Amino acid sequence: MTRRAEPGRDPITARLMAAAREEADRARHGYVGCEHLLLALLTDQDPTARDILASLGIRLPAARAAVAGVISSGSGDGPRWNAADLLATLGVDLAAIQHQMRAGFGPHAIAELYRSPVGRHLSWGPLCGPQMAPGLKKALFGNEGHSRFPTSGHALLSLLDAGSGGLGAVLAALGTSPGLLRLAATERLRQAG
Amino acid sequence: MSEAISLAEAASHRDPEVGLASVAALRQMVEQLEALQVKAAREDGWTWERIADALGVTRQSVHRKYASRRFPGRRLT
Repeated sequence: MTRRAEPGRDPITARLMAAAREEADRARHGYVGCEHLLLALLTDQDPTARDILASLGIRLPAARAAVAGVISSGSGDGPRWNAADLLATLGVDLAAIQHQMRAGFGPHAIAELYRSPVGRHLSWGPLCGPQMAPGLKKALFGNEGHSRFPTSGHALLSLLDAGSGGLGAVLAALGTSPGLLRLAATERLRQAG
Repeated sequence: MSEAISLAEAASHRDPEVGLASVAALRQMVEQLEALQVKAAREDGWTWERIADALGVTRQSVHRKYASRRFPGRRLT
């Protein structure tokens, strides 16, 4: 079977990226990182990574609690608080502003702004939503800017390759380590051929 | 590892980390809102001078910030 390299079109990558973002949003964290990708692997429809993690006793509820604990203590890979909550401490309603912007400039105004000459030097801001941590980009897209994971187990190995400090802290809180997890994952993927 | 603390708790204790991060988020958002308005004004045919006047800044500063050298047709007018 031949697979054509189609950057950014890998279905597992797309699913995991969306699920990781959802995990960060529901926990109201200030970024989407490797910690959230671990949770995404535990909820993915492909059970390969979930089974590997379960073999080390890692399941979704405890993993969510560990991620929340690490990030809220400031040991995650990015800002612990999201922009909407920070702005709310000043009495500023980010959702209301986003609503006004969409009404005035259209639903894709922010994406269009960053593609336009006016937005070319503009840095990230709250209207973009949480930023992806560099480690997550490395885990999902590799150094060539695209990835292709045959199974979620391969995505798990790529996650471990990203060398995330936040993920290391989460795994420690769950009583394991990146090294042990890598051994379990490599063994499982080797058995699967 | 610093202590786990909720944002509401930190804000109620006037934690400088929350105060500073909030102001940073506000500043970043204002930059985005300004750029959105500048882009819309340019699309409506506004000159950089008129945009600068409306923003209360100099024409040079608005031009330096937003005008592209890659689009020679969209020079300072």
